[in-house]
Amino acid sequence: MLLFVVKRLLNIPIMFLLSTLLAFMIIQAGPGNPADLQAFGNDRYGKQEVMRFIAEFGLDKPVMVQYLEWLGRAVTGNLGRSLETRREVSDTMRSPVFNSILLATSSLLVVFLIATLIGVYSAVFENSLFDRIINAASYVFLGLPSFFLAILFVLAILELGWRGIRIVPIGGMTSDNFDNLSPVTQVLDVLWHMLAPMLCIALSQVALYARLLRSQMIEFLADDFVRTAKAKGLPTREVYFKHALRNALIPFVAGIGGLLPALIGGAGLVEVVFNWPGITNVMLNALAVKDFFLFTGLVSVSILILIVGNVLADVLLAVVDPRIRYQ
Amino acid sequence: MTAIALPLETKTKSKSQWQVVWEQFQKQPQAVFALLVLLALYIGAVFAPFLTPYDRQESFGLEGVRYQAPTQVRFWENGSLQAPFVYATVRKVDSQTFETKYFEDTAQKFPIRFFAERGEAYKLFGLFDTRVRLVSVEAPARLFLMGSDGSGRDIFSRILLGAQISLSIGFIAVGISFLIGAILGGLAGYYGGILDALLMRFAEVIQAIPPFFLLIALSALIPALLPPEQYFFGVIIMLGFSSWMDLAKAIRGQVMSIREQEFIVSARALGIPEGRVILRHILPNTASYLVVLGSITIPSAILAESGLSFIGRGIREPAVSWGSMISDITQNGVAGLNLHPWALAPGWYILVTIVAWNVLGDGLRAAFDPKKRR
Repeated sequence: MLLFVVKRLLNIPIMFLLSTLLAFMIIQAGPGNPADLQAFGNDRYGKQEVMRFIAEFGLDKPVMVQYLEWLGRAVTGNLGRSLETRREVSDTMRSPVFNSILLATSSLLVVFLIATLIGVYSAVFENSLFDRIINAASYVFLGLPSFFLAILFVLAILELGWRGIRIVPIGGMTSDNFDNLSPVTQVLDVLWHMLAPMLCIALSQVALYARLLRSQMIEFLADDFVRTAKAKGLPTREVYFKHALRNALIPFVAGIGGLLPALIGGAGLVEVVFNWPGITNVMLNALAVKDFFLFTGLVSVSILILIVGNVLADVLLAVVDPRIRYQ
Repeated sequence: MTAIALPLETKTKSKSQWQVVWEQFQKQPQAVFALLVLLALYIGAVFAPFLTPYDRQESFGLEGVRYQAPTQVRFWENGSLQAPFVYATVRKVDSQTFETKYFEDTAQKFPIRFFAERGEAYKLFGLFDTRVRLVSVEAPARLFLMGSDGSGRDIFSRILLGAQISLSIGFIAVGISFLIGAILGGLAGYYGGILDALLMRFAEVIQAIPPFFLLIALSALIPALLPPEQYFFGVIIMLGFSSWMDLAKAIRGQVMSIREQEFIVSARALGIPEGRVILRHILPNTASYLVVLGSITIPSAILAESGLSFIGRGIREPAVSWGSMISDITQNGVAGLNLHPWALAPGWYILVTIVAWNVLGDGLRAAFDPKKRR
């Protein structure tokens, strides 16, 4: 067990190294360069300034050299400076990364809560009307592009607003008077803004996980130990929630590690629609102005979250499920 | 001994695997229905220039048309049934809210013309030059079956013409990722060892980049000024490149288990060249698996294209796809969206397409699964 964990942990730096290298190469290989973009439409930005700009950020060096320099700095926590604003990348991306993680984790909670309830009930009442409706609905939600679902949310909010019912704002993360609010109302304000995007991300994922849990539950409900538990005269509720659900949840507990990064990536389009100041919006802007270092910083943080999440998932699975043995 | 024919053998014909699968598939009404829906959508895309009243970039924006509501096709006038017709529309700007509103002018009546010539010549299937369109109306009336977008272009026409891109992109992108996945996964599974380890680590390294961010990064590789056709292929190659890893892993697993079976061992013992063993004996045996996998991967490729186009990093003007149409209406913010909800029609088309593909995929999976035979 310990050996397995150590092996998986050792995997993290290697994977991180190789995938950031790949990302770095993809990003640098694109046409156009940031210096020209800076010079575009700016008369005072002459050839000399372009040369200085390139030299300042070392953009004239070979990609491998640039990568190694970047990596050397990155391991000490220095991700370079933004080409656009010249601010430290690590400062620039702190709040978008936080905002994205905040949105993703709260959506995750909602997903687990709703998916567990729906999954258990549709497994217990297999082929009932409820189960069929949920099944049909899950097809619809799996088919809805997340950005379109977000737009439908916005449409509903606007439509209600038109009738004088204002539930939640259609975008952003804070109200205009945010700075004047007390800390408690500031938190509430963010939560209020987060409600719609959070539900939206959750809804697009619930269908998938409820279906998975349902099939897991059905399998366990037909198992011998469940029959024995029932035969012993245990209350049905206890059999369902203690015996069957605990086993059915195993892959989900382990899945937390993988789900979080998936949500951070998958939430991207919803963030765009709701104008949530998260990773995706900053990333798209960085790409538009060829802000290599900001983009690389954001991608490598998301890579790190993904890799660590996956390793965490593997380890959790081994801890939770003793049947899984690793050599 | 020679003439004894067993009656049992003559009556029961043995069926090929694909016949059994087709029979099993037909027993699932929802999957058959999904197949029909998809056929209708794809036929609509193929015949799009003929079925649409307008061209993809034909705009009435210069005449001041913005977000005109869907045109009502009418069959009744003064209590009598008539051939389908529409009224011309007049535009009025509300002097208080400055909102543009459209009213029907019942004095100007225009019959819908069937198989009439209109507009620019187009090539049907890229072969025949023709100007005949299934339905059209004379100007100044306009036939906006699903309303117009913000530039005064017909949404229905753009949906059908955009379907050519949105629907074909899934097929071609998945074709590319299958090609890469089959070659790399096949090699890894067949030879094993170092090659296997290297290829699988490579796949894992790509997968360590969150898929959506990988797509965004790749999209920056396509020069923005490419002509639309080349840009389209750039997007397809990018989608294919970013989605072959799971396929390669799945095919590798399949090949590994098939490789150990007796008929492969005997084929090799007979001295059949390795390339032939792979092509003739191993890959055909993964076919059923690949069909199911394909039906799952195509909808996700369609979704990926729509998402990319939505943020302006996929299909862009003058080409049109369903995702780029939605991008179009939300470009200047979402504030007025509820005033022209019909402009969201492409999203419903995406929904129907993805649901149909998913239902079809589930149907295929059940049809191929011997445990679920009915």
